[in-house]
Amino acid sequence: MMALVRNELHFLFRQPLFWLACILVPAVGYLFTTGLSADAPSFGIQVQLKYVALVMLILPVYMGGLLPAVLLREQTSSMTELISATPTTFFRRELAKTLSFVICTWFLFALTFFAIGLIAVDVMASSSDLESNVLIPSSVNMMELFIDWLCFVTLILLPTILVYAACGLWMAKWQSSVFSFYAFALVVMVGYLVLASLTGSPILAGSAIASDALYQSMMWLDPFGFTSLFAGFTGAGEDHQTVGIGSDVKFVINRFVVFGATLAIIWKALVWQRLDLKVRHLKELQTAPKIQSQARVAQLLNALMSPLNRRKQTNHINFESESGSPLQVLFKQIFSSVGRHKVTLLILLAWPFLIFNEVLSGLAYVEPFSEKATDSLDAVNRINSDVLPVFGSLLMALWSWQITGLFISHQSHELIATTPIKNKTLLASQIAVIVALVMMLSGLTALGCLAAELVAGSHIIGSVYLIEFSRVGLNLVLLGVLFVSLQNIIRSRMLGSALVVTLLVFKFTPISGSLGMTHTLWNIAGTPLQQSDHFWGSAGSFSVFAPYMAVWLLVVSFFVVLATALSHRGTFFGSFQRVSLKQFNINGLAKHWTASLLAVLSLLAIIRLDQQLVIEKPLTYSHHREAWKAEYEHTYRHWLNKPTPVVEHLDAKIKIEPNSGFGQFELRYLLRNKDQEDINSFLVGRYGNFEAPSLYVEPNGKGGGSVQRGLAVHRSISAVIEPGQVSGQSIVRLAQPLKANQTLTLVAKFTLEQPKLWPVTSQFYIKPEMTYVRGVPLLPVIGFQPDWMLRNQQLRTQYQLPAMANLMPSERFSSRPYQLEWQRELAYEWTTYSSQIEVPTGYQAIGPGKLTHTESTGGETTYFFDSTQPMRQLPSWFVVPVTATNANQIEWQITKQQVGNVVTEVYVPNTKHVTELQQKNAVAINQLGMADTLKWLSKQVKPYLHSQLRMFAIPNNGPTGFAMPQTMLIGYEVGFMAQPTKEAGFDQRYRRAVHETAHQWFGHDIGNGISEDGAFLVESLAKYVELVMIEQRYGNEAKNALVEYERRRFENQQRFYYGSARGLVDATSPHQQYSQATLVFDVLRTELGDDVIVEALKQLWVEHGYPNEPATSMDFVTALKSVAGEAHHRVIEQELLGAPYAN
Amino acid sequence: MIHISNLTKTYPDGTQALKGINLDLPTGMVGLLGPNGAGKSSLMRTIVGLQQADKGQIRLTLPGSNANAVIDVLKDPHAIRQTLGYLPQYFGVYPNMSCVALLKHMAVLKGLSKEQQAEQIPKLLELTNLSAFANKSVNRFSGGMKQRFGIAQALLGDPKVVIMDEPTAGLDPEERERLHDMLISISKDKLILLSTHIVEDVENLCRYTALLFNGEIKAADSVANLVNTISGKIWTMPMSDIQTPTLVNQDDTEECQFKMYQLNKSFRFGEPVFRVFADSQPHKLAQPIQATLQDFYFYTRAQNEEQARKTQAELSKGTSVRMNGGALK
Repeated sequence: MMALVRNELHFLFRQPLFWLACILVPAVGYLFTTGLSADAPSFGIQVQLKYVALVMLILPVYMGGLLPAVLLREQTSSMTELISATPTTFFRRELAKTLSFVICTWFLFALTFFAIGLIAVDVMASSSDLESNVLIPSSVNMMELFIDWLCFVTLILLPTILVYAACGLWMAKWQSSVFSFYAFALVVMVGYLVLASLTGSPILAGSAIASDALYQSMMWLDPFGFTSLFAGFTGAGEDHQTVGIGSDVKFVINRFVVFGATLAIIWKALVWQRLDLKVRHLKELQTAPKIQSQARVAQLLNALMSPLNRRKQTNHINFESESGSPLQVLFKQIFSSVGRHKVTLLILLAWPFLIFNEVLSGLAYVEPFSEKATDSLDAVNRINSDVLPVFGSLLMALWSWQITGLFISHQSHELIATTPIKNKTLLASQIAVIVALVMMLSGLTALGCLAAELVAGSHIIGSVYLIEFSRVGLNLVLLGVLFVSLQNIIRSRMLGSALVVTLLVFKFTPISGSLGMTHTLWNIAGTPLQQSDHFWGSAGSFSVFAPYMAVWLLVVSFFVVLATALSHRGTFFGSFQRVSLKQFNINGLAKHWTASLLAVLSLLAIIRLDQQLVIEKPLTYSHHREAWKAEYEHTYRHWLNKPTPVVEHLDAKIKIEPNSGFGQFELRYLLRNKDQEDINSFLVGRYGNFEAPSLYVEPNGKGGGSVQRGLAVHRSISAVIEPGQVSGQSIVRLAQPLKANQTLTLVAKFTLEQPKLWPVTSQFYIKPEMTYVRGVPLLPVIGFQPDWMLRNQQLRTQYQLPAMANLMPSERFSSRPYQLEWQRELAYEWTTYSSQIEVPTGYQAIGPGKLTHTESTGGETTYFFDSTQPMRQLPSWFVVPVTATNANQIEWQITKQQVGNVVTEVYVPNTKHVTELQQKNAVAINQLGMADTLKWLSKQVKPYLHSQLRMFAIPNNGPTGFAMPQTMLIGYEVGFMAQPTKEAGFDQRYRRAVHETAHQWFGHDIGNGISEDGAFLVESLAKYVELVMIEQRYGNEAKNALVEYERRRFENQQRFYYGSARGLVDATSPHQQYSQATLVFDVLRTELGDDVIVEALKQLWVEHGYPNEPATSMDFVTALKSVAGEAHHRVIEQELLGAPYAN
Repeated sequence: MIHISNLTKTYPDGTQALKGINLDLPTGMVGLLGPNGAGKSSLMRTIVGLQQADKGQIRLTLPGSNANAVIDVLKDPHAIRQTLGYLPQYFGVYPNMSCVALLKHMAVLKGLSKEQQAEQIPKLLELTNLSAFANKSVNRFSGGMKQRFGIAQALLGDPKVVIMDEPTAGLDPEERERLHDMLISISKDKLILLSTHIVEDVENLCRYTALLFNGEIKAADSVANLVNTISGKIWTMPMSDIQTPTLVNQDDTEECQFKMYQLNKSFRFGEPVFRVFADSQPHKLAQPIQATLQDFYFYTRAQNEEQARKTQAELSKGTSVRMNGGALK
């Protein structure tokens, strides 16, 4: 047996594919080690997650590539008879193969993991020089890491390899196609990724437990054991360097069961030789198909030869079944062969059912306890941004592979290649087949969607299908044509296929990002188009479609022309020398020039697009942003502790042109020196994505000299504006010092244009349908901005920035950083506003404060707003159409309601996607939430600061709820289309309105002074208000339903939270800040009662309300303890500072 | 050495590949002749145990062994492989394997020790004229070279039963001659079953031959005996001087009172020449010539076709009668 195993090893070591894997696996492992970072508290878990990622993502690819090379080699090399005639039995042969392959694979991956661990230790050690809070693996826990490695490669890696080997052995009995193994690997990888994402894998971003039953099943039945492995990580803290694999009973049982079952399956596969089947297969291979194939090839050849024969006027046998032009004949032949392929048939037959299931399963779902009446857009949106593009792209790879290698599988490639058929005809037929298959796929997708819509009683809109599937279809066609062209050009099927897979990996996985290749064009043949929604259809990103498509059309056309010139005509000959270009009818000159022209045009188009992207958004990619932030901190950090004037009033003169996507801003900042020291200079800047504004200083009101920013330093009457070294920044150097309590007026002018090549962001949009301009990060700001500093310790180390103290809110208790008034003012950043907004008549503008008056002149209307009460420097301006125009058919409905001294206003578009009554009800419930919260908080805690509270419906391109001073944004779908489900204990619309309204107190009144300590005071206390308001409005049962809902959310997330167990005030994870807060305050309400909590809040406001020293989370804890009395200290500490829900 | 009795094999698609084959294959070179689709490869695959027969027996008695030590090949196909060298008609090779590496690979599978490998592989490379290409990748070999590799691997382990399907396909005349020399030299104590289309090879090399048509053995005997059965009955005549060129099966005509078959048509100095089988001179221009195995092969084929035609005619007649009968009713 040993001789056989050695023999197999000799074979494996002679295979270039194996050596390629030996290079690629460690290389990808290295990338994973340095590139991907998972959210894990300990070094040990972080390393384990890297192992898991490699097993989950790379092992399937490795297996897909190498399993057929090992297990199918007799079939693929036509050596079945030679080998079977040897005296070595099937059992011994296959056992030797399996053993040697498993050993090699295990060694390769185990050594890679070992190297990953060493590299990770090295990286950690190098970064620990600058970070005091990072745990350095000591020699003691190095041994623990080694034990973890040993356990992983024994308990996870080895059984996983055996699972693949077992599947491979059985597949080799039934399938002789290498493709089947590729498909198997793909299905396993994608299938497991889907399962992992449904069971909350920590290495998959955004994954959560979709079903508890599924999760529990996977704990026992996960063939790779990751689910129970992850469960074992839960609760491990930063103090634990080792993971302790094997300590979980379910994990151990799972491993033993999988190990045993796999060995049994392998044994069974080895002892059961399907001799007759193999021979039958052999027989069929050598007779019937060959004859059929030969007949088809003969017919095809006849048709392809016909142009030549017609020219020569010679007679030959005519097959009536093959008629038409060579293009038609080739199309029919390729289409029928690919279309009748078992895999294609299976996919196409199953596809509508998969789509039906996918669409129907979540068609009306909006969020838990919330659903909506649906139409075709909802149905199509279920699949057209993930399922269809991803699986469609995989199918493009498969079909391009089949189409271009069709004649090789018929063994007629050389015959076809030597017919007088032109390259362009051959390629055109292949492209036509791809187009036809995409149309078929789109048609079947539409069929599945339609069926789901019919079953669900959804409103069917034909135009949505046409538009949406045309868009995705065009992307798929371009991708398919690109793949076909590449497969025609590259003279190695393996290399061609590897390139196609690489392109897909870059298109759909974060690997390109981890390699620093984050350009939008890495989404091959795609566009950054956003999903259409009911708010404004595709208006949010439609402008990006044409420019990207134009570039891709040029690029793909170039490859098509290149393919017609260099096509191997389906032969995949290894080198150009073996293909006579003349023989294959290449007309070089015309193609040469066309290809050159297209290459130049493509290059120019790409360069132009890239330039435009950078112009529209200079910090286009993450590495740009990181570099800018690092440079900002390096350059201006010394300004952090310098006295800086505070903004006392901001006067904004704004002109918005919604139809052209353009805005002009002229801002007057009234700045006051609130420090005792003179101020000679100060920093003014905008975030790096925006140009520095044109600045000048008005020393005594209006009339100051204008200074334009430029390379040279310009002087004004009272100040020098010095362009900063970092983009967007300027330094204002005053001619005369600004004495204590003196003021000056700084004027900043800039324009804002709606990007055409980027989808709209949640920061601003200037569109005919709606204009939304948020002050942060658009407006120039005074002084050094700590928010623009890099927070990630690794990045700080990389950019040689000093380590940042990472104090938890509970640790800041003794720290009082804002003793001086100017420091407090700068921390609060509160100011008053006046706005003058000019918009085309028919639009209504809304700004901070109260509308004082309007003026109309020549088709323009100007709205004047004024706020008397200071508010956070988070102003926002809106423009909405109130009269339908050609550019915008939708008018907005504005509903106002008086709540005490406050007017609540709800702005929502009449999209016609909901009935008038539904919209009225939705507005009413939102108004109710706002009113209830306003009344209760105003009465119990502190009166609302302003006289207006506004709610705007927004598109689905950002958070579903967002609050700014005086204003809140609510997603149109969740806030105005959704309705509670029958089993809902409470109305999510009401809850969201309450939550966002509560932020007017928690976030925009208290809790905004210290950015590092805000989560508890902002989000967790808003969750408290939710509990109170829902109980008051809907009763105790509804409140309990909310608690149960949050408990489930918390438990699902907590299962995969590997951070330290922390108290609520120190919570860093959203599931703690939100869901745990509900649970904690439910307990506190029961134990202490609302009166005590409200009294503590009152005390907090008295001591820490603006402009007093900003509140910290611990200030609330102190206040609560003080009000509640000593008897309750334990429960308060336990709930707010302890971690009662960690397990 | 190999005794086959009543061997039958039908494929799942209904193709009756072997119809009750009865055959004795003695030690030495044995030829297996038959047209395409006659069942030669099926017979060979069944002998080497690559497929199972529906019924029948294949018994192997190795020379020098106890008469009781008979191997039932169908029951224990592994037993024959212990001493088998097999060269299938179509075979491929693993990629990226040199000739010597692949031979070593096969040698391990054949159970050869390292010493045996070291002894046999260089000899076989020399024998097959592949020494100069020992370290070249086999999948880059030409057709003839690959065929020589196939022969080399078949002879690894000094097998007692060598079964070769079209071994000379793709070989140039020199290589063919070399192979013939080699086969003759090694065939003294072993059975070498040779399936080929080149009848001349069988006639030159084999002492014994079997003719297989439509899954049935039509003749099996020593080559000399088979040729003797038609000796004196083979005639040649130039075609251009013959009034009626279609002389095939003239036994139905009134003029022809004896059995006659056209065996084949060849050319001599550019003129077509018939070889015919006839009991006596079929034409005044016909000249008697020496019979060959090829004449016997064509004679058997013609007989087979005639029988098939008769069977078909009888079947048609029967059908016609039945149809008429049906019409009368």
